[in-house]
Amino acid sequence: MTTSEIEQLAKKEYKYGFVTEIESETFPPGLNEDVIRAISAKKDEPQWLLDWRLKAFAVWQKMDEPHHWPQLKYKPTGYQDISYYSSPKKKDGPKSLEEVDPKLLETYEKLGIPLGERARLAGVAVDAVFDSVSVVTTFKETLKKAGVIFCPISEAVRDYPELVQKYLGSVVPHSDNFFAALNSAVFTDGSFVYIPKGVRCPMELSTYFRINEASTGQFERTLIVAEESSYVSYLEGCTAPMRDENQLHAAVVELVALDDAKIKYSTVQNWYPGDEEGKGGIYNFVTKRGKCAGRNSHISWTQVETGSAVTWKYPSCILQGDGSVGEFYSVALTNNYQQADTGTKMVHIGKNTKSTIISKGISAGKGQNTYRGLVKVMKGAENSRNYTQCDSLLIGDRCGAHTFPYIDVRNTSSTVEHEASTSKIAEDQMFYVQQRGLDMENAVSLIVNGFCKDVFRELPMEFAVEATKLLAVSLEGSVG
Amino acid sequence: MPTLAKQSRLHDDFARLADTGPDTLNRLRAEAMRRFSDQGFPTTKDEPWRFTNLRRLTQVDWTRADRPEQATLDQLKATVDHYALQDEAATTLVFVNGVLQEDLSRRALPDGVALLSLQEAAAQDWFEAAFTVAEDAVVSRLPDLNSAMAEAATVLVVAPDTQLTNPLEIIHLSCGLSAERAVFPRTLVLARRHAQATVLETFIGAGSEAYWQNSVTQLHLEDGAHVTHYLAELGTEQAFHTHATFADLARDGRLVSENMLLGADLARNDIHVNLNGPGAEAHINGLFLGHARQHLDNHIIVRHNQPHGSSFQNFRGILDDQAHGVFAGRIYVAEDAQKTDSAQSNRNLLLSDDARIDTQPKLEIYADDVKCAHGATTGQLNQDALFYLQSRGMAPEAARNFLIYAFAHELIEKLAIRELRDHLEAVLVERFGQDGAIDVEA
Repeated sequence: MTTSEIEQLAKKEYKYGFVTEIESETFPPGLNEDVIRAISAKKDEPQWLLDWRLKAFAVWQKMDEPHHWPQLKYKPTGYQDISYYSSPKKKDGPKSLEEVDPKLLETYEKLGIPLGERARLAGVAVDAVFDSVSVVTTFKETLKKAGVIFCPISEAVRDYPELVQKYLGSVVPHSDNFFAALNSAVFTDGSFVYIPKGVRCPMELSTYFRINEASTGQFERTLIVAEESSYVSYLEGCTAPMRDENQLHAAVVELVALDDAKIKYSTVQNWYPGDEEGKGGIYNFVTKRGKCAGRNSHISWTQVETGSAVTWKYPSCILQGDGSVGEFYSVALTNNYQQADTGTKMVHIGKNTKSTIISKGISAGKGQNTYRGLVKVMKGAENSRNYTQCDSLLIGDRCGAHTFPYIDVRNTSSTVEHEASTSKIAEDQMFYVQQRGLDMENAVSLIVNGFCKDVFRELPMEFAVEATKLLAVSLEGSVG
Repeated sequence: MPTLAKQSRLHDDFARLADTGPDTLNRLRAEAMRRFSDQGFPTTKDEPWRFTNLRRLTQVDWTRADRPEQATLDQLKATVDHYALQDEAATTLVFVNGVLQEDLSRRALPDGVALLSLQEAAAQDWFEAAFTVAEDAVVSRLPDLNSAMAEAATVLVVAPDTQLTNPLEIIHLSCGLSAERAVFPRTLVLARRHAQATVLETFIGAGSEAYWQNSVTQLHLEDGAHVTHYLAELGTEQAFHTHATFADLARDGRLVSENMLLGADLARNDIHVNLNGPGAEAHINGLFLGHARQHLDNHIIVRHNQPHGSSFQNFRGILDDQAHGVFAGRIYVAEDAQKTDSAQSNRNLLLSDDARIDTQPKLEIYADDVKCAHGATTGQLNQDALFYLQSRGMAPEAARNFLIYAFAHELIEKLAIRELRDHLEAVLVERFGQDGAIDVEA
């Protein structure tokens, strides 16, 4: 492959970079108690939620942004320079697709979101989030029949206040960390999912997040509750328009699995990573945590992280119920100047708990990829098991791959294993694949996909296809 | 941040020491003290100290340990003999409370080795570079305190192409006869081109009061030099011991670092290895055997700054009762350190539900053509192995003892110094043997 070809590929522009011009109502930049009151008033929230937000804000003000421990270097966000609320101007929520602003639909078209008929064919219910207010929710009826609640969280606060109050903040408390506290104070929307006892959710639930308004931080809050013996698979995927200034995203996701319940949470994250000079891109500071509260409950995180300029994300499992299982499968790819500090935490509290961590990091260009994970086995977690494998692949000699596992074991009957390796694509592998007639780019793509196979296998089919493509696109121009 | 408010006596001690040396030394001491005073003791908020809380240590108003009296020395002779190498030809330097004891030492130096005092060394042109500890906000704080407070030091210069057969032994003894006493042992080894040497440092204690040893060892290996460094922490179980070894390896330098943490109430062992020349090689091994309420912390950083380097870390821990073990190993591969071959392994055995281990095998890699692997396991004794041994007629306790012994022995058997092997085995038997000793002969 010639240098010019590589350069051309490297220059390939971000496919999803466009801004939809829609009149939107946006708060002036800045954050104080009045802004929080205004957000709460806009959302027509009950007093307890406002109090909770204010409590979180008070805690957040006293906290420092974590700088010293993550392997990340970035310009801190000016928290007073961003706007904390933005909503497409529409007085009443639309009842059907016809009522939706056609410009919005066009955006979804470009993104390839299966809405309306396409959604039905794809068998996916989409709670499409456009900036911070949910505009369309499909398949509510079908889900309603099964007794599943899947709605924007603001709607849930209105319609199911007792459920929200019971579980909101029960996994990620308002004071958990800097970004979670900020989110608790200002979150505007997100999804709420409730699966009743014994119900297997009839379809895969999916939300497309999309940041659209300039200088709007997006603070999503997702809460999923799976009652006894229920099952749900939730898909989350993201794209964002091209923009030069850094945008902040600080989401919180909370999962609660009760006895014998299983929650499968899959993410494909493809936000704007910044250009090849490292300019722009999304700051992605996400707190995701699941609590296996019941016996034999099961939470599985799968993530494919290819976007964002800076990623700070540790989807975790608290294995509280006896016999509960936590899983984490991750592929994180950093190219150009992207930085990712991601991993998981597995906290074993109940007896006979099991956790598996498979992490695949790929660094190319000047990307810095860090796995940071905690496995903690408490004294009462007898006969617990953990298996961790984190592999790194380096493509190019100016990138970095780092592994920082934290293992804390406090009893004698548990077994914890950690393995990691770092390597580059072997010459003989490349040679073999190339001599079978593949060009260099495809050869790398094939080998990288093989490297990630253990994780892709865990993804729902639609996502698996997308993830494979995403990886190929993200790596374009990184070899030669 | 804990300040030195509680350490007023150390300040007084420093003031007494400040102007007593040659100018270079005085300046370096003052700079080190200023840095330490600015930053204070590390706390658990500092990432490298996350698992080791120095609060109990910083609460004490330490002062420099007194010069031992002759009567005390006579009493200590038996202790020293117990730990010292038996070989009459060996060189043994014995420091009691930081002061070199001529009567207890065997100072006959082999050819090609020069022993300098701190004052003599300070006159050498290489001194400043060799003595200064690379500044690092967190890691160099306690070593800075050592630089400021060390009254004496063992400075060994091994001439080019010298190959020593016998180890150079340094025994640091602290007598805990008076409370709140601190010592600051300092060792500096300069191995010239193609020199080969073995240095054994043994830290021991006596008496029942808590003492604090804050020690620093610097190893400078010139091109092709081979140095084997043993660190044996065998102090009393009231002691605090914070140690840092800094090793710089030039082209084709080879370092073997063997670390044994057995003693002390709280022991922290920092090992910083810089592979500054191509083809340098480092082997860093460690064994920590904790019981009662001991806290044993191993902190290793290997920096591959040049290509074709290799480094191997192998640490094993056995923890019983309420002991807390920490292993934090980091391999750092700089951007151009291609063809690095590096591995890191930490295996731990927990014998009690109250024991705790924190292990962090870290990799930080900025080059692509490297081979780096690490692994860590924590577990109990293998049930299948226990069953197998019992099926062969071994009593359960004996089988348990046998497996514990085997776990540690993989490291012990590699040690070249017999006295050390014997001592480790004795401790192993005494600490973890159940219902009768571990049968060493089995």
